[in-house]
Amino acid sequence: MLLGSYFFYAAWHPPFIVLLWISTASDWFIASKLSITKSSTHKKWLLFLSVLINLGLLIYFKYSAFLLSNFQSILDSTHIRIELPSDNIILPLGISFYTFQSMSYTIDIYKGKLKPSKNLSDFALYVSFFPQLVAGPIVKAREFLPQLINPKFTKLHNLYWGLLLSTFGLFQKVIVADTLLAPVADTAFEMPSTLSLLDSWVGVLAFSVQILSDFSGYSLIAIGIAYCFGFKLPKNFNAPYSAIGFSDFWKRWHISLSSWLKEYLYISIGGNRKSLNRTYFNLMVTMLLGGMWHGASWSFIMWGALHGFFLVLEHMLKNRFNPKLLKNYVFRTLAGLFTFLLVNIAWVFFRSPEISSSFLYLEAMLGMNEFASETLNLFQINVTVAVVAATLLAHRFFRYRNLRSEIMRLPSWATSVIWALMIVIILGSDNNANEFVYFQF
Amino acid sequence: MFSRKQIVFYTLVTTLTLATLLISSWEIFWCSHGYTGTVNNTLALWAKQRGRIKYTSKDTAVVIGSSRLLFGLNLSKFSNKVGGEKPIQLASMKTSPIVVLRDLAHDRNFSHFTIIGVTPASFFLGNSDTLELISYYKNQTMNQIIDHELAIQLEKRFAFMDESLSIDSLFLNKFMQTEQETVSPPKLANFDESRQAYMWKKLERDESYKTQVRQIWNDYLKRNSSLLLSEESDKRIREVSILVEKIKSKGGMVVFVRLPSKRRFLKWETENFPRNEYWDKLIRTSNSPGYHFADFFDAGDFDVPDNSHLSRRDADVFSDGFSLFVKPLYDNWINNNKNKQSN
Repeated sequence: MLLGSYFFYAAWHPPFIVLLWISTASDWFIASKLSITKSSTHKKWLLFLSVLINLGLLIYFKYSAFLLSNFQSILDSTHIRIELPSDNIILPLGISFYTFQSMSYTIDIYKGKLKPSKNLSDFALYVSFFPQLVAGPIVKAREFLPQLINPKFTKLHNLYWGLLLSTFGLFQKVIVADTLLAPVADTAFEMPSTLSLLDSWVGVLAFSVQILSDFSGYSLIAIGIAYCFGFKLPKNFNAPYSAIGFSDFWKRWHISLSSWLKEYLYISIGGNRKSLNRTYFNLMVTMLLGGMWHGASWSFIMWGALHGFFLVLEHMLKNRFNPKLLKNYVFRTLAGLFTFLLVNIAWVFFRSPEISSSFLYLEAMLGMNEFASETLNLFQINVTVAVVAATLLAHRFFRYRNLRSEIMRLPSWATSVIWALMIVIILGSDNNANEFVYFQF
Repeated sequence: MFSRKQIVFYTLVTTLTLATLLISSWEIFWCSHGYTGTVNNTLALWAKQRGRIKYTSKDTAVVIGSSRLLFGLNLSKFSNKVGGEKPIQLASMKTSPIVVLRDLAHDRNFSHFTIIGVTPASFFLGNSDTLELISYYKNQTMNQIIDHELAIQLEKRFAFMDESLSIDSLFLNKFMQTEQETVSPPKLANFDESRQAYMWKKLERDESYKTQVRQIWNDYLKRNSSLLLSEESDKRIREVSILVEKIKSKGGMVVFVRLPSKRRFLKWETENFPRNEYWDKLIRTSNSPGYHFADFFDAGDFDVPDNSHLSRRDADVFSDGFSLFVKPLYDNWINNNKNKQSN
């Protein structure tokens, strides 16, 4: 399994397997030292070393070009004539995921929540396990390592659920995201300066479900494939577009990242244990860094900042509402739709190639484009509206339900028909599927 | 009452059986409509041919241009009659060869015998989609190569894997395309692994399908009925000449070729791209030999079912004539290179 995972990763770009080994080896040795060191100062330094190595790799490969170009802009604005080197650094696939995963191991050992693994190959497999190596879910060591104690064998039951989940994930990715919605979103975001009011809203709605289907589709594939081998990976999405408020949204969207950020960043810098203002500050920092995690650009930082702002606002306002109102069905539905609206506004920054085009897009969403023309055709608009409506209804249905339990309630012939149709539709789609959106992170 | 294990087993078996039945029916349906297994003309297929340049001898001809050259040049005939291994086919549908020509001219490994197809509109004006091809080739990963090799094995054997039969092509693209986008003909050709295109038999024989494709081209010609050209095309000719010179300076050779078109297409091309201002100017400026179909044949000599691409049979006829023209040039070039090496 370990060799297979390394081969899988190396097949993308062989030299970068070395980075995976560096992260693995350094955290293995640091963790083993952490577990035997008594001195708290020494422990802190070891933890710092682990964070430095992992974040150092991440910062160099992901953020150095961004930092350099921004520093160059500052120099240029002050008329200081220094040309900084501009390197085209390839971003190693999955680096944002496996560095965070590896760090969670050393941090848990430091905090005493986990004992170090006795087996290097087990730990190496935890870091490099191929289903989730390149785009998550970000699995905590204490969730995965205990599963390696007993040897795994593929059972029929695991194969069934694993293949079913993977098919469902592939359907979401290939059909919903790539075939139905990506062309609409791409068209809309290509020329924001000429978008009409309707087209701009349709475009961002298309993207909102595209990115959900793409990413949750990948997560389901990863979870499904892992399950075929007998491993349980954590759920990464839980009907996020049924969220009521942003706290609820972040308990449902990219759950593995939000729980990592909450446990290892937000709580570590104080969480909500200090003053209200400090809580708001901690929320903003966490979300800003969460935005930056997605990519080295001001658009992602802005996206993170918006989410931070909405979270802070929610914290400020939540105690001002009558508790009875918060339980009212109509209020909750409207609040849910309002949350979805704000999430879409934030998506504009996430999707736009740069921050200036985000503002152009927002202008279009306010109907401020003087030279707006029809960009999308009626079919595209109808398909998008239908898919978005179906998604919102599905999320409302699954808000408190579980996909697996609902499938088990279906008669087996119905499961077979739906599953067979999904397989046939996937095979009948264009074979040149787009890359998963989250591969770029 | 079935146990959970039995339910799981029966569901799996039922799903596989149902999926197999549905796919088989889909396959039989398309086979009965004249479709056969064909290699899809993908980025990966192009990249594989591009990669051959590094590993084949310089005697192997390299072909660039647009779709006419995919159909019109029989690669096997050419290599049998002229020499060298089977040519490396880098021509691409609906595009100008300029980006590929730039890439080859700047490639240190490239000093091959180069055949450049000239389809007037795309050659003199087109701003290529082939950037994606070059980018894919340069960034191709090992798993993409493995995926492609596996995919080809399935594509060759199953008609339903033809990209013109995907859900996108059959249904969605029709509705997703806006007025500004060119509607592409549903299917023109089958391909093999060497990127040799063979005109689809339905296009050669079925009059209503022929009419449908011709109408699509006619709509394209109507949309581009008057073009303001001269500055852009002069710039293009100058750039092409510089790139050709670069290839020659490395020991390569370039031959231009203009394949036949017919009826409305030929009329449109003759009116918008007069020979003396375009083709002749290109040949003069680049100081390279050129094979224009009109110098050797009448347009009426050829079967061009959709007015733009040669049928299979006449692609062979054209290739014979073209090979006869190229052979002495090729032999001369080989001998000159051998003499340079021995000196």
